[in-house]
Amino acid sequence: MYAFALLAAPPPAYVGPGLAGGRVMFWTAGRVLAAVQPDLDLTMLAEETTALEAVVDHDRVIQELFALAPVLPLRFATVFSSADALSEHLLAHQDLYLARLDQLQDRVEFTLRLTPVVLAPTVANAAEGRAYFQQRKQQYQQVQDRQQQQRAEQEHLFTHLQTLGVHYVLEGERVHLLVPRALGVFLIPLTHWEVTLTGPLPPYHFV
Amino acid sequence: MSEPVKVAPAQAGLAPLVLTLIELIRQLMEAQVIRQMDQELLTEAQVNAAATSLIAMENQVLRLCETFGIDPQDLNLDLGEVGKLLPDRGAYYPGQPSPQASILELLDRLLTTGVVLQGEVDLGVAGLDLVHARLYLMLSTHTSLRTPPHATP
Repeated sequence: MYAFALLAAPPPAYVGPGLAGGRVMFWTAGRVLAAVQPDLDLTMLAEETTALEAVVDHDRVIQELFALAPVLPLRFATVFSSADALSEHLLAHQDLYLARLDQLQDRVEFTLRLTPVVLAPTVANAAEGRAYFQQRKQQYQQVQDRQQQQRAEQEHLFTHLQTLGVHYVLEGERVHLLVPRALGVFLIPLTHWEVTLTGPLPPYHFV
Repeated sequence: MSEPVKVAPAQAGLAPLVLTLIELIRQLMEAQVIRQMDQELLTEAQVNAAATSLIAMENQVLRLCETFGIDPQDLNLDLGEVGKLLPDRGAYYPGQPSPQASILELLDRLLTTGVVLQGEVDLGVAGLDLVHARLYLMLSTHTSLRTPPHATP
């Protein structure tokens, strides 16, 4: 049984299509339910021609559910061997899932991409003799100073986010933020970084 | 002064590769001069002569880039996880830590420390072994050859 996400009962009024136009249903066990597509042909998940479209559909279903209710997104291709196995799993972990859904109900995820602004050193290149080589050192020092300023600005941003109660996970140049839904502006102006913000998204990185 | 003859980029052939190699060697020599200058191993006249030669080489490379229609930025190659061939301007100074890996920095540090390469090469055609070369290559700077091992920076 293919599963998209876990939610708290009662089920939302979701009528959108699932993978390959199939029907999404809600399987309830106790006070937790799973958004599932019971009749999915699982071979489409492994075939190159259909898998990419399935990934996009999986994400779309999660985002549409997220617009209606708090969700715990499941990874693409999460499959339970049977309805009984799903029920057993939900009942065994319902307290954990309900507690997590309660923590996440008023929060949304944003993805922040920080790209350092690269500026060429402003120290000119037109000297002669010893000054020519000393300019290399000045250029190096200028780059080091800029990188230090970038690190300081990044640390200031993270301290600011912590004071606002925003949790974050670092992943290379990307930072995944778990932001209270009611919070308006949560970023500060950055001069040494190019900033790209994507969201609001389901809490993919905080489940 | 007459205008330089310009070659269409499509006809540049191996020129970009050759110029890249020249620029790599030029920057490598510059790094080695800086190391020796910082260790006060060079006289003022030697420093001045080295600077004049390196500037002349750089200008020559830039002039050839213009002739062949090559953007000087394109002489630097991005080698993926290994880093770039040449560091960005100001990103590397010999003897100092560098957050950005580059082949130039690797070569500069290897030369400064000294490295011995050993290997065998077989050249052939159509399954026939024709040439066998056994190589023992030591790369180092004159300075590190003169310096006892325990005093190498």
